[in-house]
Amino acid sequence: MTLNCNDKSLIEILSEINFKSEFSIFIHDSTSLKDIIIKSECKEYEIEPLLNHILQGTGQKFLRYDYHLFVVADSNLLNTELFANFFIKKSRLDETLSSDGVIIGHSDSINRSGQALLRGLVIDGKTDSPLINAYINILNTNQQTVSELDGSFVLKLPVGAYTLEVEAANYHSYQSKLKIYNDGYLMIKMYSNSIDLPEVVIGASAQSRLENAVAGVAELSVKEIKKLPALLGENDVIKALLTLPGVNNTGEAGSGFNVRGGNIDQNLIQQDGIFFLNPSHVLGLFSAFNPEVIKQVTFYKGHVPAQFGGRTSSVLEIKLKDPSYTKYNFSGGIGPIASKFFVEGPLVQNKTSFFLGGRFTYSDWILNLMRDPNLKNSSANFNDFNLKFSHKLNESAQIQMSTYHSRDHFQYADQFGYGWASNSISIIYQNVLNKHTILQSNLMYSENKNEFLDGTSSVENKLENGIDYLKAKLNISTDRFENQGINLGLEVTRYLTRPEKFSAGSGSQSISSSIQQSKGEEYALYINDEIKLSSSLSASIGMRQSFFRNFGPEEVHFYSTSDSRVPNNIIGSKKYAANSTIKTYFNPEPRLGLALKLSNQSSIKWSFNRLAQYIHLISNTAAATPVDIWALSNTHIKPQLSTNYSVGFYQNINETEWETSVEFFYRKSKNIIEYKDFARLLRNEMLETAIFGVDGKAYGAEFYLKRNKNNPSGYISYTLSRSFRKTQNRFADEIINNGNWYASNFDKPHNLNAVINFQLKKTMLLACNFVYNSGRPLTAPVADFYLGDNGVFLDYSERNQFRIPDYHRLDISYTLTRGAVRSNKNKGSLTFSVYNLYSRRNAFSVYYKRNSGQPLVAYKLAVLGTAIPSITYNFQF
Amino acid sequence: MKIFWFLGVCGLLLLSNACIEEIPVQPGSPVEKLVVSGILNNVKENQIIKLQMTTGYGQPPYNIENAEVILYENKINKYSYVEQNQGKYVLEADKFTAKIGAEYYITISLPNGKKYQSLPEIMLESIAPDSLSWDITTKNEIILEGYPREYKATSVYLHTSLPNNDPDICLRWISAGAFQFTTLPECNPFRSTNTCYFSNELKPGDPMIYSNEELRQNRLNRLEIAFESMEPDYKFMETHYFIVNQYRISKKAYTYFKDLKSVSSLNGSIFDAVPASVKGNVYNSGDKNEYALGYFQVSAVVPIRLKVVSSDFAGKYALLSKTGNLCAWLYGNSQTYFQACCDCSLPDPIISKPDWW
Repeated sequence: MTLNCNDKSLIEILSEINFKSEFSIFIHDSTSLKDIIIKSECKEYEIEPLLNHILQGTGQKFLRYDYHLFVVADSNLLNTELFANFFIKKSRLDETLSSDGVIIGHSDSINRSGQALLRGLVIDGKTDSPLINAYINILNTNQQTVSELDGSFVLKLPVGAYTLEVEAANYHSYQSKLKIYNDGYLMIKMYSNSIDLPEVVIGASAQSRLENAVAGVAELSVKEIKKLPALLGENDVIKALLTLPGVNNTGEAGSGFNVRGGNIDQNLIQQDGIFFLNPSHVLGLFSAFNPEVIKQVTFYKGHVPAQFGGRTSSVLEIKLKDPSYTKYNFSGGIGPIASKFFVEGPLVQNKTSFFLGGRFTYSDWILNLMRDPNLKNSSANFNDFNLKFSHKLNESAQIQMSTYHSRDHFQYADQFGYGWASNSISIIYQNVLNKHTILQSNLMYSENKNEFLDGTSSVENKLENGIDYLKAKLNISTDRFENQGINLGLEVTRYLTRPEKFSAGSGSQSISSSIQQSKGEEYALYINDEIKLSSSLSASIGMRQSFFRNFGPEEVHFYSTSDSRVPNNIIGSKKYAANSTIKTYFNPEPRLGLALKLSNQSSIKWSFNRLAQYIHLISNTAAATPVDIWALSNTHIKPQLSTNYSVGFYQNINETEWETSVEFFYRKSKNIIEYKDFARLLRNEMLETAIFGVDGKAYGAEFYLKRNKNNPSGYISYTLSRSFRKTQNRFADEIINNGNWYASNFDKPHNLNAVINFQLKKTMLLACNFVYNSGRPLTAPVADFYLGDNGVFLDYSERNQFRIPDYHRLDISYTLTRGAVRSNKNKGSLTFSVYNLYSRRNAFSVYYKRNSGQPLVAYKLAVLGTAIPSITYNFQF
Repeated sequence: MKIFWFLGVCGLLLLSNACIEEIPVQPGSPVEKLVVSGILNNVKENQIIKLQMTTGYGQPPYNIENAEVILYENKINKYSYVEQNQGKYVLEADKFTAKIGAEYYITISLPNGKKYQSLPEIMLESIAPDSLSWDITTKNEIILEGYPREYKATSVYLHTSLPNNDPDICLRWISAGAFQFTTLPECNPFRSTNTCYFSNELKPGDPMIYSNEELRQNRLNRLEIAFESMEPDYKFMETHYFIVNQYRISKKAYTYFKDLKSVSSLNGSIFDAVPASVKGNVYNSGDKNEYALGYFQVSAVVPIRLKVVSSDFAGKYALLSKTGNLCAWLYGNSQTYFQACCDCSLPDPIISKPDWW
């Protein structure tokens, strides 16, 4: 740290350190320091030598309380008593700090029962925001717990002396001696250990993963997300998820992700309560989430608590940062195709704050370098912005407003173009009703618009569609009952489908049209209880009751039951007026998770879930496209249902240095949307004639090995799984592969990921990421045939009988960090990365073509068939 | 400097790698499926059906001999096709002419005992095209995947009015070319010249189909129905005909050819639909789930022709000189001529002079 000290008062210098560094200096008596003038230059110092230097000869001394916290006081006064009193005054809490650590209660008032209840709160020392999933451990006892959503925790301890240790991913661990005489309250401030990385945590810490009753919560610290070598330097939450067991996707241009054999539309992806229908940018190359603004990510792929619903496969819950009420912070990054920024700070000190984060691209220059003239004249770009305001209404209540804007544009030469945009707003009101109960209500609105421009002819046809929704949620969480954490609430979502509007260009011979898709409302009432049944057995028991109403205006067609559902077989129709109920569905969704702690180092978990889904992505292309329709359940499209079972064994080795787990899952699904051969999905007034429901099953085993500490660190995950579909219909056009089980489009039996990080020096990190997947299923030609003068055609196999070549890739990155060792407020890092280091031309797809006068040839299309280097500079001040 | 060197190498890597690559074909087990290809039209001419059996991917199908093919008219009248050769079965013109409004289907009995049948189709009233026109255009062709080449072509445009009162019109076009070529008198001054007639294929080979489902106006104007490369341009040195047969097809036939077209145009992009075997209208009488490949099309047809002579190319395209560039070459000091220019042995299929020429 470099300071200009000469001729400044000691108080000024200490304030400057407070402002510029990550350290907090508490001054016992600031008035006595005003008159102390420093008469020397401060060179570059570490924090402790710097304080020694400036306090030399002043009669003042400092005491380092923890990594970030220093107390400066008169050297005569700096003793145990002062220290303890100081903290009593500062924190206004029940805790007392002595040289021996924290004292709860007083030795004169020992609880008669011999037991004391320690309630606490774990918060970020910089932003005061609560930390979820921090692991609170009373060493040498079997008393451990993890902090809740609001950062709170409760521990019941025999009166006595202990050593308290708190760990949270991406934070310096906290350790203190603890004396507890009676019930009391303790606030623990944790300080980030990341230099330039946002404090994002996927899943839980090693110990909490072992402890809580929710099976199948994937873990990945976000430090690791940022360490992962990124495509063109863009760190990506979804790409990081793909390194976890049980998660894969269709390839580099594949939008979204598939979890345990589920479709991409079966994942509930929400950010501050706003659910995302398209979580990708640039046709799936980048995710829609800006890591700079994310506070935490929780990913449920096994057990889904009853607070969540509406999808049958997984939940990805992203919480945005709480803007700082006290300080302005600015960070950003500059990469080859995109730049990003983040600014936060108080609007009214300790009352109202905001943050603004954004990303924007300038990727066209890469396309301009291409040889292909069509690519040269193409463009692809996106931007997204997050704006959040937070306002403390009083000591127990706050209101937050979070907005998200995203826009994508893709134009392929003058032939066709796509555009899609999303605008969302979420208002969250949170009130701590009492020590035990928190009320949270959310109100959100989101609009999602897509358009496709067909410029292949001299005219421009345009197709527009999309879906908007209005959602309200009320959740009450309470730990009023001992050893229980209850969440109960109500959720209502009204879907407002946009008409599928086709506008024919002025010279077009096509007819303009507008098709209104079904409308609907989804209601859910839920209760979920996390119960600690004994010191070793805990459970998560929940019930979600969902209800869906499809309402008018709509014209419903009825089809003959003796023949297949095609327009020719309509036997009648009925028109429903606006808002009149057409069809309702009612689905109970029980959830049960059990965790049996075998020791401090191992546990077994089991879970059972039933999930229902009323909104469906209609897409039968190789990967989802931006103009795919989201259709709601109606008379003909039944809700998708899944029943999920999983069991897992978790073992930590050498405290939390090594984490291992093996999980087995089985999913049985009903009414999964499947497509008739050559189904016409766009501009189809009778969509039900192109699709039908099928059964599904998926099963597999997931293996995970992670090293949290020491060098090198990282993890290896391997998944062995299968995903199948089966038709049970009566009519020929609704039978696939003779009614036998067939592989789903994303059935990839083997999936291996290895992420290894080598900390070469404190400022140098080398990270490697290796991926191996089985090729996804393919319907391939099995025979040639001739049709008179029209030439040679191909007869295709039954669905998904073959596979595209296997996928593998190695990425590396090398990060140089400035400010990692020195206590400098201005920090930066320079990352060199190469995606696909050995230029593997991984097949996104395989197709067959007979070029002029040539025999038929199979080709594979690699979306990123080369090594892609990039340099990214991230900064923070 | 090392950084710039590193970046330079990486940049070259990025730009030098193509993303499309030929891969070995995964051989599947041999698949034997009946292929039926034939059109029944309302013109008094031989009606032909071709029967073949597939053998597998990359293998040519074999012709089916000794099959029995019977045409049923309005479920009452039966007409037997006669086996000609190479899997061709012919219903001779003097024995049968199809009628507009009648319903037709065929039955096929194979030597292995399997029996197939087509779904009945009614021969719908024909629609005559208004006119054809042509122009010189520039086309792209993929010789090797990822490497297009440009070439000049004659594009043929169709203009057709459609009845206003019929919302369900489906059309299919099959086009062809025909040209004449006269042998050079210089080849043999003692022999008279000979005029030969040839047929040639027009592109595209994909089925050209149209449905008025999505039409704004009931007229197809300047629809590029086919095109033909200008090379070799001896095709255009004398008289050349573009011939387009406009078939009125059923909705089911339209759907079949549309699906066939869609599986023929896959290019591996994210927008590709999942391919599938295209089901036609011929199925196994004993197992309705087993479909033959191909389609037995019942269609009324109206042909239209456009005559083009070499002088029409003036100002549009510089045709080669027959004796200066095309046929003559120097052998030592004496000029001699390619054999093809002397005896009509061009690579194109020779035909007898059409009646309408």
